[in-house]
Amino acid sequence: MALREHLDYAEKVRTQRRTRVVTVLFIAAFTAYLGTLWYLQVIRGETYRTLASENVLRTVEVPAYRGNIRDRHDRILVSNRLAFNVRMDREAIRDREALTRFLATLLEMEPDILRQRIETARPRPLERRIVLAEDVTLKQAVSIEARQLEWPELSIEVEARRSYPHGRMSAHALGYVGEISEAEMRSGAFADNLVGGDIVGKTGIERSYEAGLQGSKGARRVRVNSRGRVVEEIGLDRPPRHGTDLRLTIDLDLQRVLEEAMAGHVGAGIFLDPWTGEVLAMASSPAFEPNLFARRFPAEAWNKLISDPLKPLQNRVSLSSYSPGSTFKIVVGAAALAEKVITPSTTIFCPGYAIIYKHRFHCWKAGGHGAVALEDAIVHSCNVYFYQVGKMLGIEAIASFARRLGLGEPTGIDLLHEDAGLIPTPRWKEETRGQPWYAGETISVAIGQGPLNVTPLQMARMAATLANGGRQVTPHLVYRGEIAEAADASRRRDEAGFTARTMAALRRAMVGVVERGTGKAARLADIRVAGKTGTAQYSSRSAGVDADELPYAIRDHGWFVGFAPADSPRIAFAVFIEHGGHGGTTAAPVARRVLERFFSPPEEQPATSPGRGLKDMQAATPTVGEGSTGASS
Amino acid sequence: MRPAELGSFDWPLFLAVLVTCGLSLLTIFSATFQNPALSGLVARQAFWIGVGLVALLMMLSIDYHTLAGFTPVLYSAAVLALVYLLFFGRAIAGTRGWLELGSMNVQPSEFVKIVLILTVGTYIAATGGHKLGWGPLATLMILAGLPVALILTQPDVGTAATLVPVLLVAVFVAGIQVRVLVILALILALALPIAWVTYFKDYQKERILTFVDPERDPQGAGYQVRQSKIAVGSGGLTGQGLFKGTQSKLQFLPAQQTDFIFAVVAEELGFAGAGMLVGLYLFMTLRCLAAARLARDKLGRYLALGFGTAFGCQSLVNLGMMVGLVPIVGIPLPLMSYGGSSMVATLMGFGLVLNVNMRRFVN
Repeated sequence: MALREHLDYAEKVRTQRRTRVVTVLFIAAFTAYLGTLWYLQVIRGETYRTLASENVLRTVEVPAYRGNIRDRHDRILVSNRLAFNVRMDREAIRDREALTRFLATLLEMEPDILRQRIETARPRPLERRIVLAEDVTLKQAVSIEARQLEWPELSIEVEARRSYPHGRMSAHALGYVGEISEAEMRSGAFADNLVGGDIVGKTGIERSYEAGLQGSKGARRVRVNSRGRVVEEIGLDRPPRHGTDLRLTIDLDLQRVLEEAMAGHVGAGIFLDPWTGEVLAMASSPAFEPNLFARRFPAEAWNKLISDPLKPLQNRVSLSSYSPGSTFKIVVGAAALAEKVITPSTTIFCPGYAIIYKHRFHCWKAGGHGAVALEDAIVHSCNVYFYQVGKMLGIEAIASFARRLGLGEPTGIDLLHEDAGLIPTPRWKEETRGQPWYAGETISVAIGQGPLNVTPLQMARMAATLANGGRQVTPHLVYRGEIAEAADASRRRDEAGFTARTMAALRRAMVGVVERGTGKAARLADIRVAGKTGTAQYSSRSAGVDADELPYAIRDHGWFVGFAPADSPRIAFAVFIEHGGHGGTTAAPVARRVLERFFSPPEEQPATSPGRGLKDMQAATPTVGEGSTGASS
Repeated sequence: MRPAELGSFDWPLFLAVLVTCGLSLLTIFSATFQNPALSGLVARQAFWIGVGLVALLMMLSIDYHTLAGFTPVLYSAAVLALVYLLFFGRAIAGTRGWLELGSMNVQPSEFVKIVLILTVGTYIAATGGHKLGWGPLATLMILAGLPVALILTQPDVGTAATLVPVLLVAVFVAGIQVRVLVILALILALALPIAWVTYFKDYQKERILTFVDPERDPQGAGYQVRQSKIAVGSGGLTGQGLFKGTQSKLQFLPAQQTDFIFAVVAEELGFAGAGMLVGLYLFMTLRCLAAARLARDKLGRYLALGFGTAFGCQSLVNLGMMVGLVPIVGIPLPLMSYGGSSMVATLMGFGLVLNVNMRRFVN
């Protein structure tokens, strides 16, 4: 019995000791927990408090509407319309594959496209909702909203989308918009509050007036729940500043006629007010459909446009330069008169060719023009006359006067990029090709051939200078206001340095071109038009062959440059038709159609409604409000 | 009950249990009052606390020696119930651990916990005062292993895991031959990798991997840990204020009236409240262990020890989940989390401990 009690006692002592060990272990564990709790709550409490408030407080953008663009009579050229986008909250996503299948079926899209869009947005901050599909139909939008409980990660966002109601009309002048690229964000050329997914101007007016058109996003603070739904509005941090509207100098009616006349041609046409430089109509053909770009995912449209052999994205007005052909004879004539190497009555005999520097240069008319003075030389576009005048002038004088007429340098039009063109000089040749200038090259340049390149816009500006008596104007697309434009028009400085006599002689010759020469196709019944045709030789195979018989790609380029009315000009122009053959047969008729419209506008006046664009949009679509964002819908 | 027994009743422990139950009601209210679908939870929890207190009194009034006499019957019933569940159990949250009784869903594994404590305690008390050798150890492992294995097949790793310490601690306190201990440790070391490959489901592995590296998948398995830590941390010293926690009110916290209820307390009452609650759990655990130390005999000692271990370990696992010290395994915080089975079973366990404590001087 004593042994039994002793054993029991020993067991009791041992188990009590071990229970104490267990007790100590529990105390240690719980104390460690208290320490962790202290660390989390007190030491790192601020950090977690910030994380908690970031969980619930969101700054939501309040979009600023892009400014509208109107024509000179306040008719809408570019505005905004409402579009429904499908946005996804990546923080709330649960089953990505099921979601992709659901959306692909509903929106009739390839699931791979959706997966790719999710993938592309990966680098963006997770809390930022990404656009999965844009511009869905109202029916699709409603279907998604109705299944909110099933797909809480999806929301429908109402977005103002850029709209070009006239489609391709003046597409190159207006440009297009698109999602800002990473490179553009880094460039510093755009507002610094823009983030991936924002829409910016990419080309044309949309790009060059981006800062004003863009406006500035506002911000509001909201409290959201774990699904990102707004549960409470806290307030407007910053009201949005909507983009300012632009009024262009373009006349929609004239523009329409120009584009109709250019249809089917490849080329460019520009019509200016010769006194102010206001662009009244400007077209590059073929044009593109800017509405295709007013979206986030333009890949298909892009590829089609980029691979088009006619290059519809190319702005042929100011970004392409071409050989000026015979239109350059005006420059040489003007230079010769100003340098007094000839007078208007100096005659030169054209036997159909000229032998200069032991080389035989041909006139386009095999039999020759006989004895011609300046006027007839321009009217009939006699090459031999200008070979001789060019030889007398020399390349430096020709180049200098070409510059005075605005060739070979950017015109300063209010588009961001512009081709300078090229007026060759001996120094240029030395620097770029390391070869001396050959005197024979001057003879080619004198009739507008050789390494000579001008943009159609430069030619139109030259036409304006000839029309206004020698003053350089700066072509521009955005209307500067009555006072500024009037001041421009009344400014009289003969910057080009031509005398009135020189100008009068050139004008007479150019009127002759239209009345009885190569430009007869531009004649108007009661308005005298001054002009000069040009046919830029594109290939040696094309020399002296009728354009219609040549394959398109090696046909000559056609030019028609001029102004009207000849005595008190109100409009100056340049029309260029790529591979159009003779300028008198392709370019001149285009100019005539626009001039006809300009001088005999239809009876009814365009309805002018100088309201603000934004208000117009809101009036037309009352559902647009400042609170319409994805988060609240 | 005799007056002498009432005189040695552990009032502080009982009071601590009541206070915790009260806190449970308050916190469940805070976690659910904004959600109309959950509006009945507070009343239901109050009802189960009432049922649990009645069960506690019943456990208290019958001498634990008498209770231990029912052990073979209770054990058989428990195993049968678990087998029944395997075939007819109702699956909730992927676990076939629920028995449908009328309109109620009962989780038998919570009660198996009490039965297992009785089984282990009764068996060890019946063996002599020697350290455990192979024979008794094998018997214990089979006795305890059967229900654990059945719960694992539900599969409910969390609950099964809370049963293991009961056995381990009992064996440790009873004493074990060193040779046996080493061999067991080796077997365990071999079994874990095999279990990883063959038993664990992908989501369970994911949880464990996420625990090792929380940034592994911030949207998936890491989300709960992250949101829970944010909730706890944002409480600061004094909390965001009762009923004002943003993590819980705006539904960032998962399962906030059940497994994650501690995070609600921590968020709203701060370290002041959460630290006190942790202290309360430590206090209750220590009172159970003290009851084991002071118990009149071996049976009482192992019963109190068993429950104290189960309660303490389960609390530690749950609290550890909240502060990121333990992987998310989905077990409730006893006495606090919403759930009738857990509440009643836990209060029954406290009844057992109070029973042992109350009868420590009686002969």
